[in-house]
Amino acid sequence: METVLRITQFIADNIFSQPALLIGMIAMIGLIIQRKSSSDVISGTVKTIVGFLILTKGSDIVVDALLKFTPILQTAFGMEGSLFDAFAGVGLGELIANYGGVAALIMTFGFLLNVLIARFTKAKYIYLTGHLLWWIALVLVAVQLEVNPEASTLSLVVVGSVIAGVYWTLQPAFTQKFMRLITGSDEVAFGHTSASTAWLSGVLGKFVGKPENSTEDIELPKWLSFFRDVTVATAVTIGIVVVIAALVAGPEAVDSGSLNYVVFAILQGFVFAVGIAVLLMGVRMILGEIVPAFRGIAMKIVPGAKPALDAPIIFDYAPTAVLIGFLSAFVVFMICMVIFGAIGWTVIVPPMIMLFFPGGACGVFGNATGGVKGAVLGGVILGLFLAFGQAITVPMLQNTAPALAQLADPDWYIIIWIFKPLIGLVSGLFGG
Amino acid sequence: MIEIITACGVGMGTSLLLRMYTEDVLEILGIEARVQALDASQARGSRADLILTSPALVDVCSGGKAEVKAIKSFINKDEIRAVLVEFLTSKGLYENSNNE
Repeated sequence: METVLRITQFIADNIFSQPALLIGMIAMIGLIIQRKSSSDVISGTVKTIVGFLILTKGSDIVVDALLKFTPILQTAFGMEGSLFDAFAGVGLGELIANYGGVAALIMTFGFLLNVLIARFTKAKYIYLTGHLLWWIALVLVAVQLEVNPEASTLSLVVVGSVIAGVYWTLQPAFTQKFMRLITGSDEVAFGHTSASTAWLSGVLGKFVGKPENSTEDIELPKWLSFFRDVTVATAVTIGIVVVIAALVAGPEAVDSGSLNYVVFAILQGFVFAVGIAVLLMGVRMILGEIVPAFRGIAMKIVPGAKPALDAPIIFDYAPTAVLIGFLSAFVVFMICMVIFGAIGWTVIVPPMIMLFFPGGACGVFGNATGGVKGAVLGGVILGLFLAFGQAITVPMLQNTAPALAQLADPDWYIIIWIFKPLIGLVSGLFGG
Repeated sequence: MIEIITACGVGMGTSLLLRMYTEDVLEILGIEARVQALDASQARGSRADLILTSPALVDVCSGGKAEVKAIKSFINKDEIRAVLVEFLTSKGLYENSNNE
């Protein structure tokens, strides 16, 4: 008996408290269930663990770059030392390193709940967008920790898994009406955290235009496709924003050491893009091993399930709408950034990936019901949502990982807005 | 073993899906291959034999050693199968015995 207890204790101390190993273990179980060869199991498990550690480092780079260039933006807008001082030392990397294991458990149990709901109800959707399984799980950890920093692992996992599982099942059901319109079939669903704004774009599109005036009848200049490479687009956009801010703020405001302050500003934009690229590489290595296993399990348990898939799955139905949606979202976001700064409210940072993919999705949804004007409207809705979302939500995650709110899709904001007060209320009622 | 890369803009969601569908098709065809999901820029610099990506990203992926082929619908296994059979036949790795 004592030995059993000791083993359990050892596992709790050394594996469950080490997110990298826990995620590695989940991947290993998945690979074994798929009956992979032993060499595949070993290499897949190692890749997952290494991927997790890469993800943590990437998050550190992103936050570090944010901490370096946000003060420059603040000085440029005359808001020295307000918001970001509070953030020093609180980071996304730290949250992942400490609670990544909890997020991995939410991802696993939330997904299993999704499979069960799909098995026994009419909502036959299985959420297969792997990186969003991960990020939603992490957002739910952050929200709960904001309410109660002492929350137990058990309550974090249970509450997180229930919310995630229900969200992953209902979100695709919500957007399916428009997916039938876009893809012309009922076979795949939309599984992306831009669903709220995409849905709104589809609903409102018909009031501004006609689907007959489709975006696909117009030609866009070829250079615009440069934005399709998100690493390049991120580096260039953030670089330009920081350089302009540095020029406005002046050399004294930029702590660049012996480096020229403009060169320093350009480099910060690039370092930010590096952080994003590293972070994505880590996520990619983890998901490459876990998602195929999840899919295999789900397809066995739920016959006739419809996979809910990543946003770009609809991009080739209307490639021009994608660029129009992105561009209008980008322009609106930049205008908001300048206005928010000019009135001294807050500094927001353009999240290029979130402007591109959700912007593209909103463009396609808007185009499906409102043609060109609908696609433009979709982008406007998203741009406003991301700008106000970031401004409002960053302070809401102040004690955990504000950077999460700077790299968020619309649904993340909605989840935070609903569940932060709700969890607070419930835990207050039960004397938490 | 031949190496195939599935590529999308960021190399996370969509390319991973295409990887899973490609692996399904390869299994049906009885071809052993290593399939990896990457973002388009990394795919271009890789040493794979074949890159599968969306029509919009063919330009970004081209220029390296690999042959680049566009898949219009990432979830259409028939299309993936046709593209793979064409590629494998041209390399002499697959014999189209059924005259599909």
